[in-house]
Amino acid sequence: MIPSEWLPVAIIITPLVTGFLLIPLGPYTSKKFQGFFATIASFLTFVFTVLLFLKVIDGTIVIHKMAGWKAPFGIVLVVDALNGFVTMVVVGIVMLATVYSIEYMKHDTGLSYYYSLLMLMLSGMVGVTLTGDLFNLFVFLEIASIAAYGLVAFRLTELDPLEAGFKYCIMGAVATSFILLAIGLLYGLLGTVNMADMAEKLKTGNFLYGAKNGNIILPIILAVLIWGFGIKAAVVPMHTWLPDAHPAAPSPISAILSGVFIKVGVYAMIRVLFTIYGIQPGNCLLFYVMTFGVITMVFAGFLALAQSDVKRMLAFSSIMNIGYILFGVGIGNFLGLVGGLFHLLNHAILKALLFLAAGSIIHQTGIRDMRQLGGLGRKMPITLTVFVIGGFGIAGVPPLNGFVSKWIIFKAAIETGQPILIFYVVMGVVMSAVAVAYIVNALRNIFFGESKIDLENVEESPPLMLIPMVILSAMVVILGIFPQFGFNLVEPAVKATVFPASYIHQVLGG
Amino acid sequence: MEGMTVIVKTVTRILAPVMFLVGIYVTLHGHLTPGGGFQGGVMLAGTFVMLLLAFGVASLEKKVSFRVGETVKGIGAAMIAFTAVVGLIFGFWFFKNIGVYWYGIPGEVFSAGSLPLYNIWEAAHVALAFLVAFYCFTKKESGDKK
Amino acid sequence: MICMVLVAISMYCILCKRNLIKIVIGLTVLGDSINLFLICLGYKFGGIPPIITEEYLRNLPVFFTLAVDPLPQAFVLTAIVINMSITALALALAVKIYQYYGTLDATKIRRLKG
Repeated sequence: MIPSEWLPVAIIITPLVTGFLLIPLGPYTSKKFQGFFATIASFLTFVFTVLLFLKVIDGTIVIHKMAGWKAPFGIVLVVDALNGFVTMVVVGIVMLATVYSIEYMKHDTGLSYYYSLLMLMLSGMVGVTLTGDLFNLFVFLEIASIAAYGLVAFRLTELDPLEAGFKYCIMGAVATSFILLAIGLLYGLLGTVNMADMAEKLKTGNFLYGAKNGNIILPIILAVLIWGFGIKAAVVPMHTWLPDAHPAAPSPISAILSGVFIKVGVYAMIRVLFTIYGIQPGNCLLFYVMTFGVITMVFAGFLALAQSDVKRMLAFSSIMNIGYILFGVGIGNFLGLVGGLFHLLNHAILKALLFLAAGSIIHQTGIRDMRQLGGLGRKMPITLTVFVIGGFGIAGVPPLNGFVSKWIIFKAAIETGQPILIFYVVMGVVMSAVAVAYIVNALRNIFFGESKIDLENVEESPPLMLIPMVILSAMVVILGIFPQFGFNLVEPAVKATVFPASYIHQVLGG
Repeated sequence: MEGMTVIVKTVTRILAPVMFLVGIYVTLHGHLTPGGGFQGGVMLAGTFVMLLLAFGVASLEKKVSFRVGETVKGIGAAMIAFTAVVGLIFGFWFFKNIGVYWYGIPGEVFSAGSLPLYNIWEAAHVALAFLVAFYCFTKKESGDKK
Repeated sequence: MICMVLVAISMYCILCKRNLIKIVIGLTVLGDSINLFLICLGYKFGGIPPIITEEYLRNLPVFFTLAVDPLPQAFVLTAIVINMSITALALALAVKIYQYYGTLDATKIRRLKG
């Protein structure tokens, strides 16, 4: 059948070719056809991703050398368990959102551009997660970002998307310029951009032309990289684009942006920190990452309480959960990483679910302001159920998966025994309570009580929109009751992160 | 958008074919001299934009309409990916440089495997992408990105 | 050194200027200054462009020692393309904003808060 080395390429190429083909085919085909074409392409990509993950789950690494050039000379696509795991999350959520958007975007024009940009964004994100080369990561991150800027500003006839898209575009472009600067500095210092090669050279201290003071620049480069990826991932001092961009985008795009695209920024940070720099737990740099995470968590959680627009509240909740993930990652030991990555998976599912549910409400009623809605519980029961499941999952209520990942993160923090971490855990628990508060507030406003305006003609959403939401909420419940499934996915990823030696050895030797 | 004065139109009529040729030259000799697909494509796009500015959108739209521009642009992009996939199937690694276009002597135009093919598709894609983008800039009501 | 001055100027331009088009220009200058920095990374004193011509074809080791490092040039090429497409997108958005708001002043386009 297909050789396993072709799988990473197939995963990148399928959405890419689909995106390119949809542009010329646009005027000649109907909207439904374009939607189904995109869905089939994303489904194929998902099948390839699952096959790939099954291959790397036991620690073997799939390497694809582009054009046959060996590792330090050519660009390689390297897939280990961390890559495979994040890619599976990415492609799964995008596939479900594509199905959703067949129905949601029926009334918009220019849909061929929408699907084409969606496929290009998928291709870019998958490229970020699958590459083994830092410059290639930059290129694919840019592809995904540009597609994201376009998708946020998709509805050109409204004013919100335009302004939000412009702001996002400028901030994102500044971010990637600085990432490029840091990559250039790393190249100048080490003479290579291959991640495994860089890790090797950093371990042995082998700088280019024997530069003696390389050790001074390295933390600065790392700081610039984390700052740049942090803008993409919406960490607090750099998050200002997110509360404007995510509500202004069409709902399936908000789901993908919040659920997946931010995680890709976090994945890039994890890659740089653990694989290239080879940081071990207890390093003080991880402490700064953790502090960033906690600040993000607190700041965004309190801001989310004050929102009256349901999508804006969900956007702030996204920032808060990125804070949780960074907190988990920053703890650095095995359990902390398990918690952080598991929360990545959980939050991707939960936030996508919540944004799709919010989109369902907006699609049926046309209103985003929570204070004007009300009493939808009787008319849209399935939406109510999925919103409750998603909302309680985000808040961390026990039988659902949000609770499991937050519990692991707190446990990992307490296990290290340092007093400042206990303080952080207390903040984490407080913010969970805040999350419960704003979710319950949203539920009360939207679904129960009386509505201020006439909502007589509202009925339940069409089935194509309901199916992805039901699938996602089923996953939420299953992962909550049987977290073993989640652990089976996350543990190989964490093993691959904490022990990068076999990664380096296989990329450079093979 | 209306066109410009007679002087601009005459000068453009003389310069445009020259720019077009230079663009194609830069594209085809991409593996020998500095340049290549992207640079040649930008020069071709510059030609189109110059024509658009000098003569007005309407007259250019009669020659290269919006639909034709979009279609060829999409095909150009898809052909890049296609050539890469052909490299995958026949050469086992993605983007491999197979001897599609004669492994000639280095220094000749017809040499260097599939590189000139990439250059040509790339130039077509970039030039038409710019043209389509400029069409969208000049429309009043609807439009799109890139 | 000059690159860092350019970076500083462009950051000031992006953050403090009001006109949307000036913000986009600042973005372009930022990208260009970083590209300049990348090219300077690969420079060798007295180097030649990294293109194999006839006289160097037989004398490859000499060529490799004399030629400037071509890898940053490939990076810069890619980065130029990416920055160009971002500029195109930002300008397209700016055109649309102008058509709807009638103004290009960033402080007046403040419908979204926070």
